[in-house]
Amino acid sequence: MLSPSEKQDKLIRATDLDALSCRYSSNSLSYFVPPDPFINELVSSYQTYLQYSTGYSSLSAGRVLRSVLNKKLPLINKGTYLRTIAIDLVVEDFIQEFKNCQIISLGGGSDTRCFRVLNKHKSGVVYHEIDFPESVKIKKLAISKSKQLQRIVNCSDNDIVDVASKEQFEKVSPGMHSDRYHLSAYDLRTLSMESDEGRALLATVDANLPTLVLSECVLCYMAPDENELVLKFWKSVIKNLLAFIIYEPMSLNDAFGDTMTRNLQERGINLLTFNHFPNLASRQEFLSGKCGLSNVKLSDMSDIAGYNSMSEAPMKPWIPAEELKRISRLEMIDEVEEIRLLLEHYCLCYGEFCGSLQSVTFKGIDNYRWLIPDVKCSDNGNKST
Amino acid sequence: MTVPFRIPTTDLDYCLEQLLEHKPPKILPPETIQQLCHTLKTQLLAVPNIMHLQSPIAVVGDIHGQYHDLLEIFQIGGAPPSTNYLFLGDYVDRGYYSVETISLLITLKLRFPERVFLIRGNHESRTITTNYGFYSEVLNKYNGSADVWSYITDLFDYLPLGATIDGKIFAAHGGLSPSCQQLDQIRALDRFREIPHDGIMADLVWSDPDTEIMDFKLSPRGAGYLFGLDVINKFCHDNNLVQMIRAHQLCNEGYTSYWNGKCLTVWSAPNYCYRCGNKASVLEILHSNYDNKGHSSKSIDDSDDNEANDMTYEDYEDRFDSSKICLRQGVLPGQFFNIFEASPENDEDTLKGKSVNGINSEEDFASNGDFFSSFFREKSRKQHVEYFL
Repeated sequence: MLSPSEKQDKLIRATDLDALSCRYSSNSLSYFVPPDPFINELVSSYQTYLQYSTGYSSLSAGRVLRSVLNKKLPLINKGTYLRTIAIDLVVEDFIQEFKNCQIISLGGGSDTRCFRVLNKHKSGVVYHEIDFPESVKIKKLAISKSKQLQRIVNCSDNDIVDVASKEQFEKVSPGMHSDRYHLSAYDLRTLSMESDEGRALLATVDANLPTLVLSECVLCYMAPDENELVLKFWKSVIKNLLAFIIYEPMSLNDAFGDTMTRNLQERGINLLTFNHFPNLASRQEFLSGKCGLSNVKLSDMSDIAGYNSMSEAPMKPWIPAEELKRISRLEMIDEVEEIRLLLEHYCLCYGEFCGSLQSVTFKGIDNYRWLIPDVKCSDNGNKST
Repeated sequence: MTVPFRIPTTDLDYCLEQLLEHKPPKILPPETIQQLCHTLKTQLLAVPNIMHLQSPIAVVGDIHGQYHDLLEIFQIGGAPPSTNYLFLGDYVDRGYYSVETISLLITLKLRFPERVFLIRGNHESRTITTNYGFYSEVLNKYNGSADVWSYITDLFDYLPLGATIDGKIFAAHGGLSPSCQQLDQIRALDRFREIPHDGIMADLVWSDPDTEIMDFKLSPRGAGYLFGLDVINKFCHDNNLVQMIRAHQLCNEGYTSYWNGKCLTVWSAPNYCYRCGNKASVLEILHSNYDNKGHSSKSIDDSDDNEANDMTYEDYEDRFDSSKICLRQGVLPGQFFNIFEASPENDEDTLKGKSVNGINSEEDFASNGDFFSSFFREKSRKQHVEYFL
């Protein structure tokens, strides 16, 4: 029997499967070009191993997995494409600018970005993934079953594991480390410098590399003060440029936000920053004020998707017009208001700590259109709010 | 000419009882649906592309399978036959009760043919219903058979494309077409077919008004056009109309008024897709006694629409004051948007979603004799509202 907090954690872990399912759907409809060859490996791993994971049995896992391959609604497919591409673009620009750098993906779960990045950049990039042990194990098992993934992360034969029962699953050591890829199992809420786990994690991190930390719908499950602790934890660890990209939902204090809160609560999901930071302004205040980040920029996915008709902006759009046309031909979005409404409730936030080694900043981030660009860094004369 | 076969009212009343008197509603057997569709198709053969209707009438926008909210509409607007109704299309897809919704509307149309009028929306189409939920719902509710979907989508081909009210107001699902300047051009179309990708028939069900333009522009939906003020002014002038009423676009407040009431959108699916949290409305047209220019005594700003929902005690008294309503809602004299929110069942749908599974429990239990298998089958198909998580 699971305790209430274990049940909560299980539900949060389940959102990873939800996200994987969305990505599988978008990928199968050719939203991603070239198609993502790694998603299927993660799906197979879930299909084989979810039943051994805490809180699941073969019956319940089977029931959950039955709907994973279902095609999603067109607006979900488009939104999944947008969230993936937007973060991919920032990661790629970061790597292009800094060449030798570090990407840390919080709550990466079954995300395949690590494979895509390491496959493209065979040297210079170190990629870290940190998530709950259960999710990390499933990823490790996926890598263990695939020669292709093993080659990409450059792991050793010692890291290959297999399980055939709940006991074995529990005993499997979740971590995996190579010269370019670090998979670590931690509860982000309890990470601190003082604990043994914290110190073990720090041993794998290179504090001197410019670092980009990704939170794709992860920090939203943590309380506001836990958010602050996580951001400041990394600030204390990394001595070079430390940048954050955060993607998550916000309530905008409207009927849609109320309905979303209710719908998710009925699934047992509590988004703790959803109502606490309901809009871009409150998030800017939190990131630059309370957390002390600089060069803070914020936007929402509706703007990134090009739904605002302010096409005269001098900066380059996130998605070029031809690409937007290509994906609009994949599936018919019959109701534009609905997708605009949904996307407006998801924010993309950027901020950085400049670090003590050198006061570098990520220049590439200025090239994109932001609804709230930071005043300090607007060389082209944009005023912020 | 032979008189079309009419289904006896007792049979129609029995169908109504199945749908209205049970919770969840009992879906009609495929043979019944087939017969209802066949009879209605025969009747609709004689109906022109643009129906000629008179006030008083209540106009209803998109319903999208939200059956319990349709019942709400009958609660607040009065049930047929005591109220005349014009439905502007989009009866199916998205909501979990498309089958029950369209079955009820077909039955009501047959039962009260001079009180209930249905026109075609962009979702009354084979291609759209395959992708947006109606087809899957039929498979789920009729044990994997798509016959009912075929009967109903065949019927959709017969639905008229628009209506005039008192000869002054034009109602269609979407909007205007660059290929169409005269109502007679619509009357001359052959409507008895699947909605084409382009042309007048497509534009009528896909277009949207846009207050930022004057002419036509391509629509971001991928079909139909956006049309502006010059377009609608010319259309009204050339066809002796004062106003256009349509649906098709989600409205947070349940309705939208453009160009001082020249064009109205009525949206009747509250908490659309169980996600949007929006209000819905029914447009009640009591009369159209005003000059042909459709002027109300004061000119108004569209942004005043938002005041409709900040009701004070004084506002309550004003509720029945026509000129104040015109001011607040942006409607013409004699018109009134009756606003409503989601029914309590709307909230339950996402959690229990019983009827989604199409299990009318007693029948299944009797046929299978296995209580547990139907329990597990039901459990696996619980529908969640999708978000990015």
